[in-house]
Amino acid sequence: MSRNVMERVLWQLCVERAAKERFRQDPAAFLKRFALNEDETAMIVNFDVAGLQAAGVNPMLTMGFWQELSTVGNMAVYKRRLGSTDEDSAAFSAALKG
Amino acid sequence: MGKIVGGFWVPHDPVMFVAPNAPDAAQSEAVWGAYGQCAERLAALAPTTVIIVGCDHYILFGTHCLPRYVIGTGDVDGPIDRLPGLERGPVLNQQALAGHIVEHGDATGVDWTVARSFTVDHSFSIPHQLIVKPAEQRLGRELPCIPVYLACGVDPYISLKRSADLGRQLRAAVESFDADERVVIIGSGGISHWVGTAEMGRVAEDFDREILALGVNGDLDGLCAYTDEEILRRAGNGAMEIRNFACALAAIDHPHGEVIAYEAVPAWVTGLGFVQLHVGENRA
Repeated sequence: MSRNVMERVLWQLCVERAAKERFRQDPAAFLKRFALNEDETAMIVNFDVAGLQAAGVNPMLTMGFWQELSTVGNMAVYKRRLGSTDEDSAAFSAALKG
Repeated sequence: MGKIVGGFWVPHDPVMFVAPNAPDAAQSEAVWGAYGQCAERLAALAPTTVIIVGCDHYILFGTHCLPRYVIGTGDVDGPIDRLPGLERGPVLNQQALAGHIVEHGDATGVDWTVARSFTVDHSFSIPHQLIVKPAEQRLGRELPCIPVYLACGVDPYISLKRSADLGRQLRAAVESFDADERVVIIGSGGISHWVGTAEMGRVAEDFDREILALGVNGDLDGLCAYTDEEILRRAGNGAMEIRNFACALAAIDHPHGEVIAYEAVPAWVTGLGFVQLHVGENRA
């Protein structure tokens, strides 16, 4: 696993408008120019935020990536994908719509 | 010579702007009101310059360059991240003092990374727009701000002890500046919050109150004694921002503090603490 490359990709997808557009058009084509293996590519294409974090990717990037580019967007879904069942922390879901 | 005449610890919670009505009204008013109190207290210190110690949230700096500490010495604008009610625009810097801090650091073993043009993020802009701008209104004049950024959000993190070293160097640099500068330093961040993790929305009030007590007692050694493992476990990745508190506290001569407000606000995903740092007497 190359945490550095995955963070580089997600950072570009969080901050660079052209990168976001190319990813939206064809995620696999966009990712081809990076030294990612099949598993890493799949985690990004599938918005596998739990897998990305398990691989060491900074949570600020997984959250930004999710908010910027996931068609789901909803942060409650994001947290569920991370395995959260913490009712104590559910209040923010109502705060962060979308 | 210049002097650091006081400081603050304040939060920079973007969720306040995204979902202003999420908490109950009393809590919301307490937090927004605390910024107003800070502005009033800042103006009362009759400052000529403010240093705001913030941190990147993996927006400004990417894997290609991750500086441990940066100072903006030239043009400043921001915030880079768009938040409702937080306008993007130019920020007046105190370039002569910022440059002097760098030169002083060169001579004393603190090799600042320099941003000669710098677009800040919300960690600078929230205290700037909620505290410094209203203080300018009260003072009837502009109040230049120097941005200092410490690596709190992205590893490799700056250590707490190095953050304190920087605060001491900032004080020494201000005191060796050939001007009657009255500088206030704002440590922007914290306290407990989990950003982008499964625990996001949890608040650790016990940890937060420990940190506030350290500020009240001016206990820099106590603040710097936390390990990263303990901070992450007890208070989340966002609490690594207490590095900004350590820098601000170390910049104050014989500090002691006063809690202006504290609210644990799960709906805003953060324990929000406001402390004024006072300069104490040297009893040595």
